[in-house]
Amino acid sequence: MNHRAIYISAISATCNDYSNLDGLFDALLAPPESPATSAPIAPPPWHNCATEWASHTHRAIHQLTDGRTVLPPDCGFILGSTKGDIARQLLWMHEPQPSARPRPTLDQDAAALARHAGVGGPAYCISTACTSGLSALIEAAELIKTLAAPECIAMGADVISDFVCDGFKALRALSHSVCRPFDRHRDGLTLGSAAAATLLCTKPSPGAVLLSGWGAAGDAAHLTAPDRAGRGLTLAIERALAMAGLRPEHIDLIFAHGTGTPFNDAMEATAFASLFPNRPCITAIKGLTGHTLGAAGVLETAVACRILQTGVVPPVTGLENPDFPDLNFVVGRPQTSHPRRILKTGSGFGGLNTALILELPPQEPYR
Amino acid sequence: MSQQHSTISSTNATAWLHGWAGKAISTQEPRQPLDFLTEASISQLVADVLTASEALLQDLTLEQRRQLPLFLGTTDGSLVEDLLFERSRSIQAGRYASPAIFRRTLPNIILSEIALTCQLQGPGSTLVAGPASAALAVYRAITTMQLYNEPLALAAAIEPLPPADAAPRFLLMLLGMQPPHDRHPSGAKQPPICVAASLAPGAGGQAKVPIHVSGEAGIQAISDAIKATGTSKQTISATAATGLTILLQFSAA
Repeated sequence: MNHRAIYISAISATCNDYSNLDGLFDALLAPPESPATSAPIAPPPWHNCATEWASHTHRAIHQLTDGRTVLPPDCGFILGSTKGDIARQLLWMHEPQPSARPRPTLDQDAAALARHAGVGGPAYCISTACTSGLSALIEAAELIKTLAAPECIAMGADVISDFVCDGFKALRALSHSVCRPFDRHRDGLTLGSAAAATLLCTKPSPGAVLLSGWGAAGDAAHLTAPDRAGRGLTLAIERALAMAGLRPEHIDLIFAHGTGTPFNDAMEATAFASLFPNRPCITAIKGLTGHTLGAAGVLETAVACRILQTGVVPPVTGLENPDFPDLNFVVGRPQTSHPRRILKTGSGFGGLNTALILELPPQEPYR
Repeated sequence: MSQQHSTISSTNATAWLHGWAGKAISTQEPRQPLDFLTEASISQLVADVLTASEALLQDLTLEQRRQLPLFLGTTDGSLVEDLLFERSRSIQAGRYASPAIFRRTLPNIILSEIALTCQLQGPGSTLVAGPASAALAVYRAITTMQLYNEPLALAAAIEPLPPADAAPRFLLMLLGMQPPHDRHPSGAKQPPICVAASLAPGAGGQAKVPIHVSGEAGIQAISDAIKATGTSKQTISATAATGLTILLQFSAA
């Protein structure tokens, strides 16, 4: 086992019309006079999703490896995704005789992207609903810890399709207007397409962020609805804090899952209120990005790294009238509060909950 | 997945088999063309998996259930539910898209059903690694126990599509860091089985996506190896699309 610390040494992201992380971060910091809330996005027909998948995932990989030409040959690659290259699967389903053709599987998507990144270590897909991205980060960290790979890329990717859109419509989970996480008038989520990637390693480097703790836990309460008491999320956060050797008062900022659905946000608020009596700041970005499903965890971790690097915290996009007045949301304008420790959380179908602790390494100045 | 005797140079992790369950499909069972798949096609598999899980984990305490790490390996994941949902939403421009089926169009849902039924709150992961999925779940269960000093872990492998042969469609393995004291996996007279797992990285840029992937073959090979361990040491290897290879070795203590 490897007892060295795990660092996130490179990050990249592409989301909807934002072709890189800098553009997305600038939009998140946009002044309240021009609120950058997302409008519902019309899904492309499924056969157009292939282009979107390739464009997002390839761009994220190119941006990650830019300026770092030599990845170790045995670098690992973990893809976190709910549906992967869904166009390929739908194409197969619409074949006249699908059973006569090879079945498309998520590991084939991981294999293709690992080839694209030029890495030859362990590569596969992890699929844990909306926590897939955070699970990919944990899987990558544990592969390094167990000496299965010296470094590992954790990537999250999913694209909007009419398949997924119809599903969320059927569940009545889509917003009729815009996504407003933690707002009194929140009425559901919007969907987004994204790919984000991180490189995990054991060597500190300038700008690297320490991944000091992680935890996951199941609700064991309901298959698709969150546990109202937030017990699974609380347990996941406690596990992450314990691994990092921290107490709740050490957390400067909570980067919430914040889908904008009534039950998810209430569950998160319950867990945060019970665990954090010191009321750290809370932010969430799905009001701008939409819910990018399996990509969300890595995308939001990349934004969290940028927050640590710049010291500037974006507001909860779309939040105007907080529904949970006892919590400390960042509302309206960005805050220059220089957080040093961020808790990133995620929850998903199946009662899954995941938490990461991201820290500026000791002595690392803001850049 | 192929049965062979070879060595792989990578980290080696060992654990003990505390119990296992698998579902074999009769060779007489008619194969179902995809066109005739219904919700009933998957509901029997789910019911069998949940019944087997309850039986396998019945002796676990509440605290053990709260901590138990869970790993599911699957190749096809939710492909059956995906097909059914796509069929439902194709009717009248999506107006009949079934919310009940959409909830199940995620590969991890069956693992969450196990967690819900057996009240498990440990960390759970669903791994998709082609023919190496089942072996990868076993490998990750063992390395997780070692990494976090967890006494027990559950490795599962489930394949939902109708089998092409007499392969089992699911496999559940309760693994422990210590040999089982009061329970024997396959009869009181048999000695406990030790499971060693190791991983070799993939072939990276040279890897080719295989034409056919079969998770059922992985489940079959592991089931056969466990059954045959009473008479001789069994070694199997499984290789994913990326060249990732997992080696599992089963031996009686």
